[in-house]
Amino acid sequence: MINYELVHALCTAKGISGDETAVRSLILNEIKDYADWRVDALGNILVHKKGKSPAKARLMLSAHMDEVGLMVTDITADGFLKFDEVGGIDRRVLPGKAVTVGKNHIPGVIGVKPIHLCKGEEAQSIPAYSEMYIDIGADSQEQATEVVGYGDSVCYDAPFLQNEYSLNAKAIDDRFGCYVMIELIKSDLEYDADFAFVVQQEVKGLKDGKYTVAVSTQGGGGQSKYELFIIGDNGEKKTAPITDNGWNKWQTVEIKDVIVKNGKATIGVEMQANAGNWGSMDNFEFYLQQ
Amino acid sequence: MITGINDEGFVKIDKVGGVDARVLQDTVLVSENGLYGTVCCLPPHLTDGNEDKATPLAKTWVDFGLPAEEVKRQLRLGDTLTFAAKPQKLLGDKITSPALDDRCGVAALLRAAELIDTEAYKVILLFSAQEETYGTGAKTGAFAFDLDEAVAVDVSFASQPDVSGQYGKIELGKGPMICFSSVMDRRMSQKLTEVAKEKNIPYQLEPIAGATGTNGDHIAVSKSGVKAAVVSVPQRYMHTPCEVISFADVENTARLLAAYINCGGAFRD
Repeated sequence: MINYELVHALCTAKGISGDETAVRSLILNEIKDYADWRVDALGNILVHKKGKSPAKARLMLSAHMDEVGLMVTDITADGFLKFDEVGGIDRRVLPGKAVTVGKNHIPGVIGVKPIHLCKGEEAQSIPAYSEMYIDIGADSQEQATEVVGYGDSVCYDAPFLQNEYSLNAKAIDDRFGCYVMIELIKSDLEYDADFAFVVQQEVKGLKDGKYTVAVSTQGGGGQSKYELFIIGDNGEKKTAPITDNGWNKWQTVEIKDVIVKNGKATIGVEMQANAGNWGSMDNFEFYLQQ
Repeated sequence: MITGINDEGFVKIDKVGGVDARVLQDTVLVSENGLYGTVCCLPPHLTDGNEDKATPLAKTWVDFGLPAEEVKRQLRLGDTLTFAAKPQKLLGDKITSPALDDRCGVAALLRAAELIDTEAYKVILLFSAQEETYGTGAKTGAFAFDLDEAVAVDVSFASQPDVSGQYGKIELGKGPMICFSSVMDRRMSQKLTEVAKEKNIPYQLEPIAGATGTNGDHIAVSKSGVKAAVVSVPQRYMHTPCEVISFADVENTARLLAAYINCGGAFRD
């Protein structure tokens, strides 16, 4: 039986990339009594669950906590909020939508020019991000900044709808994955297993140019796959292997001369670890080369 | 309106009135019998590259998340769907909801009825049907009576970041809009502004050179003609699921209508 109450709580929790605190708290509250866990520097929840017996191979299951959304980038003199996307969103879904802004979940709507006043092509065209705005009902920048601020996260304010056959909600991607892992952690497992509730970050709005991405690591090594990666706007992936060789022996792995065009790149570390592997990462860097 | 159901259970729709195709993608709709469906949209990962253009209605489908036979059992061609978005309070006294055009006009009429304390007029309230299609409700509604005067209460455009020109100056919360139009009776419009000034009711002027696009146009030419005026509640994002108005404008619209009626109107002498 699916615990829809928990799925509902997970999907309606607000947690766009880089602002996953509410989702993390919800998950920790569910799993804390069932397994060993820790939260790493990026905010990932790493969980080790003991099974009835140790496993020969070490298995990690991973689901991401964050969802796509928007971020407040400016507040106009008239009190409207300008925004940009966090994660990949098709702009066609935005006009006319209800949203919530910031920690206090201030309700707002994404306005659109009345169809009656649109001329010709305008009636079918979806405005660019630079033309879109959120209306929270503020009459001035001053009134708006009393309740929201630059950098505030913006989430869809979408209903949670279910029938006998389907579920319709925001952030099913990937809160349902989180839900499945929570249920596994709460259940009796045959073998030891590891779970990662991860955060993701998509970097956008970058100046075109050559970039360096780097990360510092230390650990016991021995993972079957452990690499730093970057995916550019064209989808091309560059990787650099990470080989740890001992406790506190920090080393830095970097990828240089990454060409960024169209302002977008995804960076991360991918690992396939075996039983007994350990280590940590710190000091993630991503910068434009001079 | 539902115009088709395909073999996979996806539902084809067409618009009733001036629905804006740009606000349909990924929007939740609800049927008369309470079924919720979402307008289909492409995952951005599989985008067709047409992000700059609204998907035309001819290519728009609704997903009710049910097997085809269930969809066909519970929905019929001709059934209507409405925006499922819930009313929501915004900052100050602003609210957002679908259909504020023209339910806030309905509210203003009901409130005005509470404030009327005169027998100078026999007052008829017409809550009309079918304004958004061809104004047919107001045509027959007005024909049912021998009217001396009529005031149509609707919403009109307020300033928002992408609206400039005359409507760029209309503000939410600054009072009802009194229309001056070649189709409307100028003395009534003038009297409405005078009453507003006298009773300290804020108001804004809406000059429209031609037809007003409201029921007022139809009522004015009912029978051998009816003197008519249009009073509008300022609104943002008309015909979307997220229309926005200020409560104060609804209250002031009601006060203005009641004050006009209570003083005997423009033709008392």
